[in-house]
Amino acid sequence: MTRQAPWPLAKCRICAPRCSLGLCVGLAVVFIANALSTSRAWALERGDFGWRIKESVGTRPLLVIWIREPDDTPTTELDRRKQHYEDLVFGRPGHAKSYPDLLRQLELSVVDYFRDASGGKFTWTRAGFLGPLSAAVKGKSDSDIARLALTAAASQGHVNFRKFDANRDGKITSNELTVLVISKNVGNAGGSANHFGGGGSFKIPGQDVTFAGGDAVAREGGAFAGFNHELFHTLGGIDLYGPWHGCLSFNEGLSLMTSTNFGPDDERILELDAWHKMLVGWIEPRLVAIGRPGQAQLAAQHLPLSAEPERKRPLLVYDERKGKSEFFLLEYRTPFRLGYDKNVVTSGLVIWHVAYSANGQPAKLTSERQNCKGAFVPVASVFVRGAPEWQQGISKAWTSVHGEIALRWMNRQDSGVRVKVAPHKPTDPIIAVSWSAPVPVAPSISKPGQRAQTGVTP
Amino acid sequence: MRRCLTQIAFVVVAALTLLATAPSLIALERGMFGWRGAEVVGSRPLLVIWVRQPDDESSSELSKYKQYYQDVVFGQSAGPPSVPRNRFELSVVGYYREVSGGKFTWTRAGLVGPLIAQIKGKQVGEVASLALQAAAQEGGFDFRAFDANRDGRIEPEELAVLVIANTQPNGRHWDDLSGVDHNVAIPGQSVAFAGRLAVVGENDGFATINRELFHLLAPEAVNLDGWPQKCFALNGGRSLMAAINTANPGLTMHLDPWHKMLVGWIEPRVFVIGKPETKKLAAQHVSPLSDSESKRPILLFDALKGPSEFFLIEYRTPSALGFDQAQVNSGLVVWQVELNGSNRPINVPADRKNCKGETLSVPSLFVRSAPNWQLGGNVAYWAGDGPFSLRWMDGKDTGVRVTVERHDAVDWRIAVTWTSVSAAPAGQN
Repeated sequence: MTRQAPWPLAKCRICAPRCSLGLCVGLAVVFIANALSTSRAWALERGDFGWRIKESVGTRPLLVIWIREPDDTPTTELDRRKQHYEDLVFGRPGHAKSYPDLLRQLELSVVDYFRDASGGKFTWTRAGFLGPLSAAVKGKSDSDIARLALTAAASQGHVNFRKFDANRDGKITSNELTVLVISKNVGNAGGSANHFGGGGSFKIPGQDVTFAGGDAVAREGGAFAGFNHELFHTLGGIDLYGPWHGCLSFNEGLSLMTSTNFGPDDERILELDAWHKMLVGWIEPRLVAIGRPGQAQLAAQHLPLSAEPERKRPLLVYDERKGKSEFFLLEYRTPFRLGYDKNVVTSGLVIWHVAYSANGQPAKLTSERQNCKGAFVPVASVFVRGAPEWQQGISKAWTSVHGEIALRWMNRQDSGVRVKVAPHKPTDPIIAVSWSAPVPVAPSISKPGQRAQTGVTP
Repeated sequence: MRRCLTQIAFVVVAALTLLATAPSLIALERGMFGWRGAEVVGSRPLLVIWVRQPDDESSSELSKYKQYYQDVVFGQSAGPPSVPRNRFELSVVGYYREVSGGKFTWTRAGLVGPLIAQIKGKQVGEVASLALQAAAQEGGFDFRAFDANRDGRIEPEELAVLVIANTQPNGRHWDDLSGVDHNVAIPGQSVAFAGRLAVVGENDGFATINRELFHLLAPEAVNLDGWPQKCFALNGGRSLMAAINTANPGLTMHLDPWHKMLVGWIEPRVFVIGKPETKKLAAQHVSPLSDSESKRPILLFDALKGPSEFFLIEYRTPSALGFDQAQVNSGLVVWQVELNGSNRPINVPADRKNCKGETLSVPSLFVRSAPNWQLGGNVAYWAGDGPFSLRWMDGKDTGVRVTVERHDAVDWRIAVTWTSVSAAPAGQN
């Protein structure tokens, strides 16, 4: 469920006629002076720019159900695969973290991925692992497979689903349980999610409870990134890979929510984009109101938030006069073998361009690029702007070689802001960026209640 | 004499097979196609000696390395807490157990180090001597315990040594000290080391370590990586003997089927060309206990042409469940092999030039890659390739058309069919 973002700016406009001009100006002066004296980003309010509108913090129980059509796969192979999934989802004990960096490998797990991506704010807890359970899943839709999995978990797996109904209302919601279904026979997409939301709940056979929680269906032998991609849908994530079957790839290799259709058991992985992290409340961006020059440092995604609480926060560049429905998110992305952004496809400043429609959701825009058939197709208004020509959805980061980067709005108008990236190497954990005031500088009137900040420093 | 008998046996068997209309599967004799030519079964003690040219590396970092070598050579399961039976664990011991189908593994003789030695700029032989001496003197390792027959010489079957060094010796990274006057006397222990020894770098990848160790088991083993320094890398990911260090130190892949045959870890199913067949092939990580038959690769040869040239076909698919993870794609891998009279690969000119226009010679043991029968490529054949032709080294068509059944990369087993040219339309290539 998504609700409309409560925009403080809009509220201020409503109340503004009641304020005297002098009071408004006075408050604005106090706000700006305070901002400049502390050099700290103002706290956002929930809903601003979409921040925390799908907040997911704490933990959620995760039940894994592995379901398959019986075949001639030997028991020994099934046992090994089961152990593999157990480890891949919930983690494994070991010494790997105590090995030298040059030799150790990232020991992947779903639980660890979400813990890392959220900066420790969220993860899954083990509700159980069932399987392989038998069911006639061949030819079934993902939705049917999810129902078969729940049925098999209750009947063959003897799961008492009622115990997950924490508030005893007879309905298991997403906060109470999420199910990851693994099946060999999932649809062509390689996975899907959220089959039980919006009235599609499922009564668990033989148990006086209905399942309306989150569910993700992933392919047996599927890639690690695919498991995480589908599970993040249950938290409210949207696909950013461009139009489905639209032969127009967007944002590839820059977000977990782009295409993760990797090979079997593939361990390639990359981080979520800054927008999604903001959406679920895992990061709070540093606000940069267009108007004054500034500079900041940005930390690579593999650095822990605990070590870089400030520089891990992306920069959110917006124009007070335009409001909060369109903005840019700037983050530093670079591959690092021992982190969950190890397969990001580029190194440098990544600029996400976001626009919301009136209902606070990403808008549907017509692509600026043609697909493989020469057609312009609808795309979600959350995409990267790639170097060197500000191309929509092109996964090429900006670096110092690109000089001044002109930020342009969706209507292609120049924002006037010029961003520069300091020289860096892909191995650098931090990069520095700077931005200019618009040229010519547009007149700007600050109003009380607006959280304008300029000149962010780390 | 033995080779002569083998060849006679082969001819008799092949002739009988052709004359009868019985199935084209024939039984192997030791030595045929190189099978069991350097058989290694059972277990062998492995001593790891870690020597270092003095530097300023911190003791905490050295402790990390020691933990890594301990775990990755001998396995975490060597000590508590035990690893669940079904969990994949990256270890040399586990690698050899899986690749040999349970026929061979290393046992722990010890891990000594880090020991100080002046090894900078030294060749493998010198590093070996210094490492053995340091292990005896500084490390206090008792070599005599491994002289099982008490003849004063520690032979290759009695102990193998892996030296890990913080310098990279030039040239070949393994040595055989079993030759006369080539032994290293162990100071103060009245015994000489006359075994085989490999030297690897501190940061060498898992596959590199295993490749050098395989040389200790089978000095006849052939490196299959081609000429990577001359833009002509071959067989990448398809054989341990083509392994090189990569950005992923944990990269691991199985041996090719011929080397497995050489040491007797697999017995191929041998078929004479001419009769159509459909057979199943299991993925490399699958235990032979699950299906011993489909674990055996298929060897196709022409009885009239003789046993010196043949094809080995196997199923390769990337799987996190075992040690064949480096596969870039999934499907049927065709190895083309030509052996000399000693049943060893020979050097043949490559059928294409490198990036500099040079024609390089390569061992006559390489993958033929989809879709165009490319020498040393790493694309496996799959159903989408349709029936494809097997060709001899001279480029002539064998008349055999091979088809791979549609499969999913996660499948543990695939089916493959081959026919003679009279029974199927001409395929690709």
